Amino acid sequence: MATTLDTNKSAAQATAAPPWSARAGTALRYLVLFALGLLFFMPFIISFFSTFKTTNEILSWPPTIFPQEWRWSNWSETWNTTIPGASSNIFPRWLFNSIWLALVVVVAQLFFCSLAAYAFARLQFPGRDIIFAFMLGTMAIPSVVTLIPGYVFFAKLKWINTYWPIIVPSLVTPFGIFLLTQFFKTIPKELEEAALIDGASRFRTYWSIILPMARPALITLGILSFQGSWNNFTGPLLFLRKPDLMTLTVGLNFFKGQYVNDWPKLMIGTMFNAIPVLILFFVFSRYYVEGQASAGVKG
Amino acid sequence: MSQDVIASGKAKANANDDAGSFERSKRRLAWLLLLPTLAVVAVVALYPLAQTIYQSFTNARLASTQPTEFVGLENYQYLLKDSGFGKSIITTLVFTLITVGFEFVLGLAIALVINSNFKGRGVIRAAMLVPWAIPTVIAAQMWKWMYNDVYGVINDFFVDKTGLLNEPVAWIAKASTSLASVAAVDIWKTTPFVALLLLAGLQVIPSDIYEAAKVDGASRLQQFWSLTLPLLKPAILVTLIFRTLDALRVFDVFFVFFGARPDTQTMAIYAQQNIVNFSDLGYGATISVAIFLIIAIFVVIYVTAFKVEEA
Repeated sequence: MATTLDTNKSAAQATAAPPWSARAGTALRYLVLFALGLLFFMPFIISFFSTFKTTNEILSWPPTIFPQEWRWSNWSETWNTTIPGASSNIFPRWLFNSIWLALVVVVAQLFFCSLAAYAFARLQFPGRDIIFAFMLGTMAIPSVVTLIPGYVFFAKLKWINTYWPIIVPSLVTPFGIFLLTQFFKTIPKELEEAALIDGASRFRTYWSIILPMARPALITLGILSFQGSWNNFTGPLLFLRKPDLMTLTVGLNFFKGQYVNDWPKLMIGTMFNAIPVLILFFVFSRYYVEGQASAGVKG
Repeated sequence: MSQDVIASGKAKANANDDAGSFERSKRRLAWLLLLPTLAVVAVVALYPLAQTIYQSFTNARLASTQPTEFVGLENYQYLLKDSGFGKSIITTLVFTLITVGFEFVLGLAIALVINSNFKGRGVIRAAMLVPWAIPTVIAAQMWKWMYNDVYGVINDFFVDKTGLLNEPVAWIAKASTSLASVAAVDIWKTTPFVALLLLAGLQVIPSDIYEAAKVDGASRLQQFWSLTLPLLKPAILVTLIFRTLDALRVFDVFFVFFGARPDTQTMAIYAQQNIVNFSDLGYGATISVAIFLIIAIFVVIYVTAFKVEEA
């Protein structure tokens, strides 16, 4: 077990080459990373500075990177947006709705997907492979197929203007189960078998052996499901009609005018959409790296 | 009889009976674990799919009082002769091939680089994710604005700043560049996601294997081909399946960029247009079933290809 103690450090050492080529390699790596980082980051930077411009400046030619005149008030105006027929703090409200929905979805998915994945990866039962293949097959259903019957179904349950039609379909996803099943299968069975012989219950082996070992996969699924819920557009658009109930992605539609978009507000809304996911990843990427190592110690 | 069962269940000494009840409890546990999943899948996938298959044999109209009639295979016969749908299949396949190919190669390269230890890794990792964190609809709007031939930054860069082009190009409107322009957005947006999935796979590979290979004198390239790639296979399968299915179902970027422009319709847009714009629910359902079957073929190909290699 001790060999897996410091996985990452030893991984780096194992792949390290002689000094001279290592140094050239490092320089090249940083150059490539910088170029890629810039490419990925550039539109975000442009949008960020655009949040301080007027709509006219955003649409002017030649385009500017930095605002000619910094309009800090764009941010407070967006935060204090008022919509006819809605409560006064509508923008913070949208943000709050997005946050709690995302949290519910993340917890539910981690729980239900990992349970199902444990069954697929570890338990022998008749029809297992068929059910697994069937579940994968449902990933092939185009959203145009599910949209209308799904809407009719939830409307019959009188679930319009509630969060149920958004939460229920995201409680568990075939993709999440697939992702976790693949990872659970890579975990050596010997650890669990030893624990089972020692008299640990199935739930205990799942909870204290499988879950810690699969931490990178669980964190990945957590981030993916958070992002999926945070950016969910069609669900809230179809089922939430009252501005007070809306989430951020749908609320942003109010900033799209019939003729001209309110670009600064749209850009600020985009910032609010992107930043939480980034913070989340930044925080969790540390555990992501440590996942495997600490699991080895516990095991 | 029942007393016998209870008795044998209690008699731990009997090894055979004990194994049998163990199997049974395992089976019961498995179904219990799968219950929530099966319930959700039935409501959000199977029921709509069954509904759509049924509708594909009718002449149902959207929001209409006209009675729905059963028309047999009429829709399917029409589908086989529909050149518009044929065209949308080709557009979608080309888009899928380009985007999944680029995203996989770039994503793998990025995952390998950020898996190693270096200063500023956390920042780079987070920066990589920026495009993916922005909602598709908004990212597409942003790019549309950058591509604009009158005030877009891309033309400003190529024409005014560097002089690589003589005159501004209408990237989105021009037939020869429209597919490439939309593919570039998808690659930009989704490569980080691919890298994230592959990175999770790389994290699980135990490092002692590399040490052993190094002792044996394996070069880095050999290590990559004979250790990293085979061990990464489960993660690669997840990534490729997920990306391919998503690319084949692509809707939003195309919709924001082109609306319902006939030469750039994907399969999903073609189906949506028949349902929403022409209110032809029956034929739209037929197209949807065809899309489902086409995508299912890809799933089968992937899964069997990987299974065969395993065996």
